[in-house]
Amino acid sequence: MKHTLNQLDPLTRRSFIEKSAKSALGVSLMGGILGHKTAAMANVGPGKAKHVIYLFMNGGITHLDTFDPKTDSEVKGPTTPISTSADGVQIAQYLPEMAKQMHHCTIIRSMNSHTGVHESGQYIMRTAYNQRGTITHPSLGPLAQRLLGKTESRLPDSVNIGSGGGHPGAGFLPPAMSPIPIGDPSRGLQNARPLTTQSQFDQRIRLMNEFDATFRERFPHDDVKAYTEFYDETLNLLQGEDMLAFDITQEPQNVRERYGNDRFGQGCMLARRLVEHGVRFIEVEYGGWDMHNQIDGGMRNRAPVLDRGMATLIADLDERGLLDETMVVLGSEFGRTPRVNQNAGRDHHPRAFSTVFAGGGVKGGFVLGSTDARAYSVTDRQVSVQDFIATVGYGMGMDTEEVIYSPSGRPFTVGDSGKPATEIFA
Amino acid sequence: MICEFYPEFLFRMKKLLLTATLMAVGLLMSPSAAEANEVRIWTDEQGRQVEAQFLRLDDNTVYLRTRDGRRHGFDLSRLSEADQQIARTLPPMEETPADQRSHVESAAWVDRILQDAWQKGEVQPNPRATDEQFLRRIYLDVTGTIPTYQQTISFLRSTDTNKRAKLIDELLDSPGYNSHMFNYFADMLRLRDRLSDNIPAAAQATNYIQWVKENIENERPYNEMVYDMLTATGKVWSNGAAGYLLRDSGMQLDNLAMTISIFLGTDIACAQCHDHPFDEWTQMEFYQMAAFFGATGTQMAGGDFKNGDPRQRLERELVALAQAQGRSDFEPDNNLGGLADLINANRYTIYDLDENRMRLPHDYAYDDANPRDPVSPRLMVFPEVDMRTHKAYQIDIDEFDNPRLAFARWATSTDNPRFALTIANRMWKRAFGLAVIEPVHDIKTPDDAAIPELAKFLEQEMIRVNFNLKEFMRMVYNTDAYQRAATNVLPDPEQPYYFTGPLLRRMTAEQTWDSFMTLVLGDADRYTLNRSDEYARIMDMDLDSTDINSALGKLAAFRSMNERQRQRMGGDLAMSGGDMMMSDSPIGFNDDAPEAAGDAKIVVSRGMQLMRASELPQPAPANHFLRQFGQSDRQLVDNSFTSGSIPQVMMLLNGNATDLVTDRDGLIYRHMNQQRDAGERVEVVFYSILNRQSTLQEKDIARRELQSNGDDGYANIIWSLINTREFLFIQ
Repeated sequence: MKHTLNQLDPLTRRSFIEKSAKSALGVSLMGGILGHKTAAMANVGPGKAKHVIYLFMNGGITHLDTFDPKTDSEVKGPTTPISTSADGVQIAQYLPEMAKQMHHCTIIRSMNSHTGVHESGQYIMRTAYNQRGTITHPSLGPLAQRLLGKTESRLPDSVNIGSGGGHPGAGFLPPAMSPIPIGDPSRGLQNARPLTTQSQFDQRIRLMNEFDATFRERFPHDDVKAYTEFYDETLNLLQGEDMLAFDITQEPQNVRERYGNDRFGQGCMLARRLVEHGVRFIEVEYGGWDMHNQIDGGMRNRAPVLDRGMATLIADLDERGLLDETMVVLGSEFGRTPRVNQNAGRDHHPRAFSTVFAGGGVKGGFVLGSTDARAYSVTDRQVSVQDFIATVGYGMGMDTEEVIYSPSGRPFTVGDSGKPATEIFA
Repeated sequence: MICEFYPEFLFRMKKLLLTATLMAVGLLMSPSAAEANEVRIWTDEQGRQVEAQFLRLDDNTVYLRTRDGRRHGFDLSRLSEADQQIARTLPPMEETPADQRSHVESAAWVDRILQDAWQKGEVQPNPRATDEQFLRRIYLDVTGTIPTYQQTISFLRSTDTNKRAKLIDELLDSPGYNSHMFNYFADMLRLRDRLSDNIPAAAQATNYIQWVKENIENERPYNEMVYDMLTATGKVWSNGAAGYLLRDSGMQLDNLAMTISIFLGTDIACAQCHDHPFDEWTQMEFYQMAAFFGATGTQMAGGDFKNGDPRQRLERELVALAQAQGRSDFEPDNNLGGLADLINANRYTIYDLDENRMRLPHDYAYDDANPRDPVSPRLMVFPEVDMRTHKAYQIDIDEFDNPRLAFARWATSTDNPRFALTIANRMWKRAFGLAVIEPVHDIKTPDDAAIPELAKFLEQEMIRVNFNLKEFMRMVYNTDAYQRAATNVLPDPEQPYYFTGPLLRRMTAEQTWDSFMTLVLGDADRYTLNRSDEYARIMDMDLDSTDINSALGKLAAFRSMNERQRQRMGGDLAMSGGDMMMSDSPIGFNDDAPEAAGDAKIVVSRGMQLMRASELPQPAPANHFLRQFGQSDRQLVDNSFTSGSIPQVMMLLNGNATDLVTDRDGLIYRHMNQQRDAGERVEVVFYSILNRQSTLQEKDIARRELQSNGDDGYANIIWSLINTREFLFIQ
């Protein structure tokens, strides 16, 4: 066997997928040559969730003080359960606005994970796979692009709002599928504004093409063509109406205030704008949940921001008729210990925790699974992290049994063979 | 290099084409040995044949040299009667000992192998690269940046007929070589400022990174570097090489898979979990290899210390100290704080265990052993190797104090069937954009190469230069093939590539960033940082003997060091290339900017620290220019990429780096201002950015631009050249 360029590249993945990104998948992030398979896949899962907004609570959000409150005096801590808009569903008093939206929501109270370390816990809650030193697995947005094809939107399929480092992004899939990062929602997309007036910018582009003509002719090379396509697509994006999707100043002041004048709230609002413009998968990250000390103080600080942002998001999507096709998911790397520690905080607890779903075909006012009276262990219908990822994938219409191969030929599925919790879908 | 054993595989070719033999005659003539014997077919006692050149007969040992340049010595009686007769009559050949061959002779040898391959593959070589193409490429390849304006014109104007070779020598000895080679190692070894996510953040890899830099600077032989990394003991701050194993503390099996892949070009990662479905490696073999590291610890537990758990002991001392100061309410839990991190960071050290703890996994599923059985170390055997006779395998593991030492000896030996080949293959790829055998970390067998002779010669050459990577690259850059024009299309992946010239490549992330630094700073190598000594001094703590007072002293020193670093930086790099940390200060650069080595302020402009990629945080933060352009996240081996994305293009169009280069106080403008007329100023822009003259047509375009837009025209021309594909690609 003689070596050829496309001999696969197990540990480092690059050259092969770069080539396939260009030849097979098209370079395009936007409106590219990818097939639109969504319709054909409709028989796999309900697939009602054309969009997902994944609210990622960095640090390990306490389940006892949010969506799985207990009355046992040893574990209840500062929390009192309150009634909600859904009959028989109680949540913690820290979330009064979410209480009004519970008729839209499913809570899974029987989540279970095996890692109590932040980084690896977050990794697995984004990919379903354990973090390894020899491969990076794709997160859900790029995975959906790979399995379902590029959406018809001219915008990228995946956007991360407020994500810190360590996000697995496209993993072993082509880097061009990576989520577009947005640090601060109020600043929108980085580098979107020209350094000069628009007319001078246009003149510069003309000059660029004139000066570069000879080179492009002399090198009719796939990599060069790919860059020229990226330039074309970027310019289309920058000059098109779709750019406004990233500009939250377009929103009326009362809407901005309704979401909360903080990064998370504004991030939720930006996510809704992106959904309106056809973006498939948006992650909004909100940190500060690692409450080893003074959980009450921490909750008083963080919970109102989460409460207002998430509740407004669900209500707003509903008012706009978008909730049916948009699944809002709240997740975190693990829960927190029932026992309140000597610093009045709670420590890491992967053994049992909660996730929340709303919209995209999910039942309202529904609770799946339960924990014991101390919220320590799962007592009913355990849902693993793999099942959780498979559930989101299933809701999006992905075939959770379809095998995709890494460049080294290793097989992977959505949810690492987890089983979707189909009970949560209406 | 003489193989002292009888090479079983030497004679495996059954039948040889006469034409190939005739062509090989010219090929095998050593450039310096005029009276070479002809290549002929030799037959052994079993009738097997090989084509080789007779070197000499010593007593009863006959020495032959095969096409790949390898010398083989074996007992005369192995040859057929007739060939024994011939060996007795041929005159000994005057040899240039391989170790005395110059890089020029070796480069010529490579070219002959390639010319032969072109002929056989019926392909035409690319034309010779122009001086302009060569100049830009050699600067980027060796020093990681485009040349400065001055460097460009001085080379292009030189009439020295030997100027290419001289430039290669000059650049190999410049600081840029060290910086750019470091970038390569950083990607390969996954170098990060923070040793690992699983280790307290206080445990920085500063000394490991510095160790790699110093080894490159000192031209330390690569085999010795690797040996040091595999055998290091102690903490990373007392022994930088320890960073290699500590980097993966708690991930021993992953570390092994990467070791085999990086250094021995073989991917056995799949066998970590199961027998490989279509490869030869079994899970048992994987664990037998892992067992070489089974008696090596990387993290001391509380019970491993002779004076008990240091954290508990220091906590007690802290309480006592507080009480002595009259603070009875003192709660160590709330106050150990940063000290706990320092203590934990000091637990990470490489040490010998008293027993081999490697065991099969709990789900081991094969018949040859039970789950959780202990495993003994055993060397993997590559497919073409007969371990009974192969020299690299004549090693007694029990003779070593720790099996890890035996592994390191075997792995880095010149006789190892993959070690020299793997690094030679990697270095060739650096220059040509494609390896002789792809992929570099999974060489199934050397015969997979499109040009097996080339693979074998490069392996031999790596040994000739004694693993001095700089000398190896000197040879490669001096080949005629390297100095040809880049192949103008992406080669067909289904066809072998015969290296008719280097591939066209997009600049790496580091080359792109560093080229911006050159455009802004001129000589970017003046701005360096090294805080490894201070860091090591502060961090190192003997957990068995330290008392609370000296521990608190260290904590104070640690905090003040971090504070000083922050001040020197003028802030975090969190968003350089982004839009968060705007700097109000004017651009502080000029040709005689203060030396930055030592404690000088690093230039910060538009939120960017203006330094080479090798001096910035490793890796740069997620939103940094470098990362957008494909700098590795340092999670996986060789994880950098050179493909495009929309955020990348937006950065080139509207980003801070582009803004900086078009700034009227900038270096390009200052060089332009020294010119008399508009035409010459435009030439400055072309020489600075594309490192070539403008064409007549381009002069026209520029003239029209300046006529319609006046002085803005210059900024427009600069901007537009930065945004050409020609800028971003290496011809």
